[in-house]
Amino acid sequence: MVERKSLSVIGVGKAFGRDRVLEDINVTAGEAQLLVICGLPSTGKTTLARIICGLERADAGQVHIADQDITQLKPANRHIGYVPQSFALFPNMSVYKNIAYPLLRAKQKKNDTASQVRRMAEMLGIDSLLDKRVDQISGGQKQRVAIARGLVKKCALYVLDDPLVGLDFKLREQLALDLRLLQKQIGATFLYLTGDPLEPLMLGDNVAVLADGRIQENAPAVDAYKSPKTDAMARVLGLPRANFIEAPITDAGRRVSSDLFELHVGNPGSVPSSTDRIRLLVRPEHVGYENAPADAVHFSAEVRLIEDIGVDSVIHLETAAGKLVACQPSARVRTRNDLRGTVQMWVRPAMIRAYDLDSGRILDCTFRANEQ
Amino acid sequence: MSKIELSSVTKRYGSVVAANAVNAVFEESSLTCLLGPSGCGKTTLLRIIAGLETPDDGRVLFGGEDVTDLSVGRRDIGMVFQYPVVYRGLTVYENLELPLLQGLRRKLSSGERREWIDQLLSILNLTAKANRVVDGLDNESRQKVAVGRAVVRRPKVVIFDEPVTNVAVDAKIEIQRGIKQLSQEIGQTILYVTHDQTEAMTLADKIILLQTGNVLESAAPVDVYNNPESAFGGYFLGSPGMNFIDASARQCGHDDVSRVRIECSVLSEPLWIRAKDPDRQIENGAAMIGIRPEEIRIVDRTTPGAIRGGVKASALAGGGRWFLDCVTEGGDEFKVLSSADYDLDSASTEKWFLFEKSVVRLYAEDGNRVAFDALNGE
Repeated sequence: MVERKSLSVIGVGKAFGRDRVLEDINVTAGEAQLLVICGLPSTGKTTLARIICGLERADAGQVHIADQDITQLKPANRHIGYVPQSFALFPNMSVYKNIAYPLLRAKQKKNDTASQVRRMAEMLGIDSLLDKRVDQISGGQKQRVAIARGLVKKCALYVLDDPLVGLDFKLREQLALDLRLLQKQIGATFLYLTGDPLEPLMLGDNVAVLADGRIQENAPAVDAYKSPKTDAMARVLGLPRANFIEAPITDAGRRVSSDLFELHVGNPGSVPSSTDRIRLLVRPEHVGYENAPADAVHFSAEVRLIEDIGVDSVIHLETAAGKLVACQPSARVRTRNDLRGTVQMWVRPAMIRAYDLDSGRILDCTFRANEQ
Repeated sequence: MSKIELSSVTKRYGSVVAANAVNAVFEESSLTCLLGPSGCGKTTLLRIIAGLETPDDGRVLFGGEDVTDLSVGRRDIGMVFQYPVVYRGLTVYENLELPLLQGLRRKLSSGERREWIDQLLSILNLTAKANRVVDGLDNESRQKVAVGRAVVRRPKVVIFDEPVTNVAVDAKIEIQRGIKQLSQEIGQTILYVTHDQTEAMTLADKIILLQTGNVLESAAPVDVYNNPESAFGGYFLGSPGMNFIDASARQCGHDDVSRVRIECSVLSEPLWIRAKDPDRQIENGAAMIGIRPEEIRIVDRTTPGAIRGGVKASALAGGGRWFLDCVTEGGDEFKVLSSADYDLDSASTEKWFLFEKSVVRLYAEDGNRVAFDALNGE
C-alpha cells in the first residue's frame, strides 16, 4: 500500500494560440479513488493529463496533491505514474528494461525491481516477453508494456490517458477489470481519462465529464448513468449512445409536445416559466416494441437497420423527431421478423429525463402519459 | 463477382504456423469477417488472398479458378487499411473519380460516372464534403474516402484490414453502416479483418474465427454466438463471453453407452443426455457446461433450483444492464448480465441464480461442443 493522497485541479486554463482548449477546470479525485474523466474526442483530455504530470504548462490555475501545490514542480519531482496515450518505448531495449526504467532511474534495489517488474508483467499477460526487444513485439503488446511501465513505480497518484484504446477487444475487457482490481490493491489515487462510453462505468468509483473546457459534472458511476445531472454526462456515457429529443413545453409548463409523443408534467411548476423548449433524454434500452406497459406513450417509426451485437440488438429508427435508437435483448429481436418497415414503438414517461437547453442542467420534472 | 476458396492453405514463419491447413469459403456478394485475437493468423490469410504472400502449401481459388500463383495486380482486389490511403491535394470527389479514369477498363460515360460517384458519396455520408480537399478533413472522413476509393472501380473482391481501428466510436458505427450498405448494393465479395467481436457480429454474413492458425468457427454470426463449436468461440464472441463451468460426465448402462450423466455445481440436479453425433461422444471424466451471462437468471432464494453465488464485483454495462462477477460456494466463477430493468442492491454480496438446464450447452474437455438430446432423468 502507498500513502493515500488526493488530487485537486483548481481553475486550470490552457490555450494553444487562439484555441482555448481548457477554460476553467476544477476537479478533485479523493484519496485512493478511481476517478474517470470522460469526454468526446478533442475535448482536451490529453492536455489536462499532461498539465497534471507537468509536461505542459497551464496558463492559469493550480494542481495540488494532498495539500502540496505542485504546479511549479518538474515532472520528475511530482511522483506521478503516467501512462500516456501515445507510448514512447525504447525500441532497442528489452521489455524488461523498458518496464524497469522508472525504477532504475529511482535507483531502487535490483531484487525489488525484478519482483515488481515481474508482477506487473504477469498482470498484463506479457511475462513471457520480458527478454524480447520492444521492436520485436506487436502493437498491442507494446501498449501493455507502456501500461506496465507507467504503473510499476509506487506512487500516490497515477494518471492514465486512454490506455486501452486500440487494444484487442477481449484484452480490453479483461484489462479494464484487472486495472480496477489493481487500483484497489495498490490503494493509490487513479485518474483515468477516456473517450470510451462504457469503460467509465466498468472502472470508476466516480465519473466526471469534460466538455466545453470545463468539468460539467462529477458523480458516482451509477448515478452518472442512471440520473445524469447534465446532458453532457448523458451524452458521453452508455452504448448505444443516448437519444435526445428537443420539444416545446406549453400550457404553463404542464405539457410537452414533442414531434413523437405528448407528455404531461407530473409536477407543474418544476420548469421555470421562462423556458419554452426543453431537451428530453431517452435511453435506448427504454425504447420498446412489444409488451407495452399501461403507462407508456406510443409513436410510429421506420426501422432503418437492426444490428445484432450479441446480447442486445440495436434498432435504428427514423422518426418524426429524426433518428432514434432502441436497444433490446437479441434473444427476443431474433424471433421477430416483423420488425421492419413502419412499426409502433413505446417509451415510459417515467424513464424520460429533461434538460435545460442553455445550461444543459437537469430539470426537476417528472412525466406521465395522461393528464390526471 | 467471385467466390473465394482456400483449400488446405498452410503458411509457416520459422517455427510459427500462421495458417494450419486452412479450408475456408468466402461466398460471393457477401461479407465475411475474419475474426480473432492478434497473432491468430488473420492478417496472413488476408495477405495470401490478396497475393502479397505465397502459401507453403494449398491453393487459393477465385470463382473456381486457381489464382495461387497470380500476382497482386491481376487479382482485381480493392483494399482498405487501418490508416486511410487517399490522394492528397485532391477533393473528395476527385479522389473517387481518379480510379475510374485510370486503367484499361471500359470507361463509363461521364454521366454514368457522376451518377455512380454521387451514389457512393451518399452511402458514405460524404455528399456535403464532396468538394473539400481531403487534406483538411478529419481522420474519419478520410477513412470514408479510402473506403469509397477501394470500391469505386467495382473490383471483384474488397478487403478491409481493421479499417476502423483508429476511428472514434461514433464515426466507426457510421463507416461500418456504409460498408454494410455497400456490400448489399454492389454485391462484391468482401473480406473484413477484425479483432472486435461486436464489429463482426453486426457486419458479417459469416464469421470465420481463427486461433493460432486454425479455423475454429465458420458460420453466420447468430449461429456462432448461440452454438459455438468451440469453447474459444463462446468466450471470444459476446462481452463478457460465454461462461464455462467444470462438470463431470459419467456414462451409464452397459447396453446403452450413449446415455450420459452430467453433474455440475451450478445445476441443482444432474443432466441426463444422449449425444446426437455418434462420432462426437463424451467420455467419462471432465467436461464443461457453457452458458451465456445473459442466460443466467437472477432469482429469489425460494426459486426451485436456485444456487447461491457470491458477487465479487458489479458495474453497469451496455444497454443499461448490470454486469456481475460471481463465484459459487465451490469456487466456480461465472459472469452474469442482468436485464435492463433490473435494480441492483449493491449492498448485498450474495445473490441467487438459476441455470436452466434447457439453455446449457455441453463441451468436452478439449473444448469441442457435444450436441445432445436432453433425457428425462435416469
